[in-house]
Amino acid sequence: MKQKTYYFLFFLFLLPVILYLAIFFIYPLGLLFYYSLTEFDYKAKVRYFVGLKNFVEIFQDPETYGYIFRTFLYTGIVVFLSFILGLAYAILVYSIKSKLINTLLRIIIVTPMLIMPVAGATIWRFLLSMHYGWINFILEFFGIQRENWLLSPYAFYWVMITDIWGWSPYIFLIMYAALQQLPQSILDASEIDGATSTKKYMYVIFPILKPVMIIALTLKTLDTYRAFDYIWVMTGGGPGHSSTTLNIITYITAMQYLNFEKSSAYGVLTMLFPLFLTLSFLVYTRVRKFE
Amino acid sequence: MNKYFKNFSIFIFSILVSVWSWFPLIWFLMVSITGPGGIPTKISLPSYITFDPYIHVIFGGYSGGYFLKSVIPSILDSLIIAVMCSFLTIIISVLPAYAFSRFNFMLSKTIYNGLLIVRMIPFVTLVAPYFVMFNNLKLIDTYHGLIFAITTLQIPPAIWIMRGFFDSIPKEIEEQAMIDGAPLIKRLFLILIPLIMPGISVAASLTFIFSYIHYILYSILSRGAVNPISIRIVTFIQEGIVMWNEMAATTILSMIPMFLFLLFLGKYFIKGITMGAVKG
Amino acid sequence: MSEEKKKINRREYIKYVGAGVAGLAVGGALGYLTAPGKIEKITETTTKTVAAATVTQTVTKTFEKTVTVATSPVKTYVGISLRVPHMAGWLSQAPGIALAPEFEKETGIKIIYDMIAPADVASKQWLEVSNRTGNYDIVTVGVDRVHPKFLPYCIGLNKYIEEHWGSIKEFENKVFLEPQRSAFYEGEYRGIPIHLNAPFGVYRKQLFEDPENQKKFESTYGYELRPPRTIQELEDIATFFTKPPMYGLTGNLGGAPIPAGFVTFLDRFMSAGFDVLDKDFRPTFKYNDKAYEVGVEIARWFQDGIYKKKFINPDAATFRAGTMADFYISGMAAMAIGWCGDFFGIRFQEKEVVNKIGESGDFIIPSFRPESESGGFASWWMHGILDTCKYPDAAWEYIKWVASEKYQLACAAVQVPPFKDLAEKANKMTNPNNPKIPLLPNAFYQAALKARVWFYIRDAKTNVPELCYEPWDEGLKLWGSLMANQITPEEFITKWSEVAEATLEKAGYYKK
Repeated sequence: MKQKTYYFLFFLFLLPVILYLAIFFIYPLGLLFYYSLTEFDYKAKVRYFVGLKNFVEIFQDPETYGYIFRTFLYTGIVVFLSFILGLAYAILVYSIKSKLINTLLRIIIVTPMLIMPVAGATIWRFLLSMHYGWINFILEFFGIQRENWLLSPYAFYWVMITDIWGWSPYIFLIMYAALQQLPQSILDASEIDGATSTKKYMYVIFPILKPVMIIALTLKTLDTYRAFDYIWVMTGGGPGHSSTTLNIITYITAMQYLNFEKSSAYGVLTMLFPLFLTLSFLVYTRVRKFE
Repeated sequence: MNKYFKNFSIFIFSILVSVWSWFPLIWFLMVSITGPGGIPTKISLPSYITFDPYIHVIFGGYSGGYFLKSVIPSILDSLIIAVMCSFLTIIISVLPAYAFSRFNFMLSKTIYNGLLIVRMIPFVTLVAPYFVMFNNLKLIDTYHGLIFAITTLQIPPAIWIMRGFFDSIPKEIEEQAMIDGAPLIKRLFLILIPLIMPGISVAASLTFIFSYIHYILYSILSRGAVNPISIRIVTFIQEGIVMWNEMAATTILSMIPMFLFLLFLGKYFIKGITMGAVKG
Repeated sequence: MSEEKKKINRREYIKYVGAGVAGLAVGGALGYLTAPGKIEKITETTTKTVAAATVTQTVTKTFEKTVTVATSPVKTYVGISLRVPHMAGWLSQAPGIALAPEFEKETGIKIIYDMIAPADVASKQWLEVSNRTGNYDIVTVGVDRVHPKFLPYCIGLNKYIEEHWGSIKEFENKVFLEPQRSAFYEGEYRGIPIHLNAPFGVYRKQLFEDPENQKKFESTYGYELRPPRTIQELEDIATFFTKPPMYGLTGNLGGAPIPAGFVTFLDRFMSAGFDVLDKDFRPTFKYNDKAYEVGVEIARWFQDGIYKKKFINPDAATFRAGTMADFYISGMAAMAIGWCGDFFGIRFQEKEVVNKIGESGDFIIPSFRPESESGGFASWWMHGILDTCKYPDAAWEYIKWVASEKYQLACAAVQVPPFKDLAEKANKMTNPNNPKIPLLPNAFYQAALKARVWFYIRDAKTNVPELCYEPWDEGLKLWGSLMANQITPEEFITKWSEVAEATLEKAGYYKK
């Protein structure tokens, strides 16, 4: 194909998306940047430009670094464990031959994702309480003392567990669909070659699945980075600040302080931070290449 | 011996997975069939059983002095939004996914990765800009307004997932069709897309679920005429009374359409596989 | 060959685009057709005055009793709709809102409510108001934290007040004045109260009236078992009844994001006779030794109540009002203090509840410094008319109606009517669900009579709205840490003072 047709076709295909996102994303994004550089005086009813004042305030607040750290901690742990669990689910269901049990198990596994996060978080809140708490009941059986978990220093980790519970079906759906797409011929070939189950998985299936795995991981990381519902309903930022992430403080600044401008600044920070990290990583690898 | 061990461990893991996934839901189920003060505190059935929460929530009724409207219209609202959103997302995302998969040069890579940004924005920061924009476009409190808003956030993952599936189709199939003389569009629609069906149903399922359970943007962009069920559930948590029983009943009711939708899409899974098997 | 191929491709593509556009058009049409109807256009307005009368009306839909109430003259309008935001699921206002069709019949004004989830009530209204969209005609805001921001956008109501109540003085005599002062801005009142709430205590009568318990209690503590009148008595009784899993006392002591716990603290602090700021706007915790002492004492009492002396159930540290009520209904607590007003009149009198835990009585929460005879915290909500409203007269009709006897008595089972004469009347009527108690419980009425708003500083005779933002939220967070046993009461008090002082300094309150 000629070069020109090549590019032309590519952009034609992209046209609907670009148009759509231009209207519904680029423009609001621009408004977001604009707001983050302003302040609103409610008495005088004017919005005026203040430059980087919001950002300076954010960085001068010592809590901000805690927020950033906790956001990354949350993302790291949750993505890692969700991925392993989701993959395990997919392999488990894939290994089941009976169609009935297969469908049943798929429904059971996907259920936690179908519960509204508000409802799910409320359930876990109850389960972790002293009075209603089944979890305390079970832990007592194992010899761990009863405690009001959402008030303890471990509150943040319990929220992570809830998030993993709620969103590992996401990974499961993607990986299971990918497993189903595996060409039967390759599987048969490997079996003829005498591979055992584990070897089959390690050397044949996983390499083929790698692109899908990367996609699933990336999507899950981005989603978890923005995780809000479970944390907010379960601890509201935790005792003190111990479970406040960037998203939580963005929400609080907007919805409770009614300071949409500073909240936009937090939003810009939330978006720019990973970009900044990725760029520095890219620059670093490029520099290393030249060495 | 190995086979029995394998079957046994599969059995055990299935049980563990089922318990892990479902025990919170069972708890909520029990909350939904009891009344105030009846919520179980030990691992047991609630102290008294009544189906009042379901009756109040489906048909409307008084609970603790407050009149509840039926939640069925809200579930329908959420369904309309979620279905239209899946539909719209898939339509908009299929071609770009193909484009990214087949045309893999520098600019395309940049745009592809640039879609990341859409997925990185916290919903809350979109609230004020969307509000202003939608208000000016008179899209507030309409079905299409909410659909457009939520579709924006679902497009990047749909593109990414479908691109991944396009990627895993060997180039030989497409080349074979090209040699057979099929033009691009025919190739795309008659061959590749049916092969992608599992990917499309995954993308559609995920989009459906996300738009069904979403809350923040809906609450800002609706003003009483459109009532998604996710907002309805949140309104059960009030400053004063919290209606746990009714909230549990509503949650369980709201999950039924999702189950049905996923089962329906599940059929496509199977269809896609058999088609793939025939082709490949 | 390639030219032809290009043409075919392009043609195919145009076909596709056409199909896609058609598909989107179909989808969009579907969406549009299923869209809700628009608000009716305003055609003409005429007004007519209907004379005052005395009518018999049903108090609420849940009560089947009829009561004679007075109505005031109304003007009628044609073709006007008012858009009123309100909090969804608000039990206290639900009986009144259910009467809206009667209002529409009387005046011809259509009321379109937007029921907003409690968490978004303030932010959604703020988005509309600060962007001057004109989508709402009336605002519904509560005093705890946000309404100062709305005051500049509401029109002054003095001329309406004078028209309806005769004079500003008359109005101030009728309304609970201390909370009402928080609606004063630039020379005029900008809001009319619709809801007043104050914390009080409830107890399970069957436990207190049981002769066994009375004997045991008297022999242990030396005085008879009755609703507590001092903090020491409250502690004694709570300790007496605590046999886990049952506890003597529960309360809505939750920390961030729930306002309940911090409010309980403020309520006790204010009822000990103090404001949080002195006349120089400095935090009394820091600059007044007595205030510091009391603050630490109160914080310590609650924290020890959960962790050291254990007469408050541990979950109370996460309770909001609703979960506290559920715990109380399940029979696991002998007493509860906090926002009991939402439940006492209806839910606690329900047959199932009475069968389970017996009847409930009310008591005034003892003060930590009874000699001060000061009031505690009041939660107070108002309606204001936005300056973007095209028909302020019609909006005023609605507000008059909300402030009227009809509406307020309908709600009186679960809130305090914010007008003294109406509150007194409700206290004299009996509760339809339980003729033995008044419609407005005594403790609730007494607490409300003295209660006040925390950011109206009496010594400085002014509102300090800045307290409602950062200091409020830090207070919620610090209280949460206190309830999680992570900070000491001294740290709680000191840290909060620092935040309050820093915020007020930034706002320019301290002239050097």
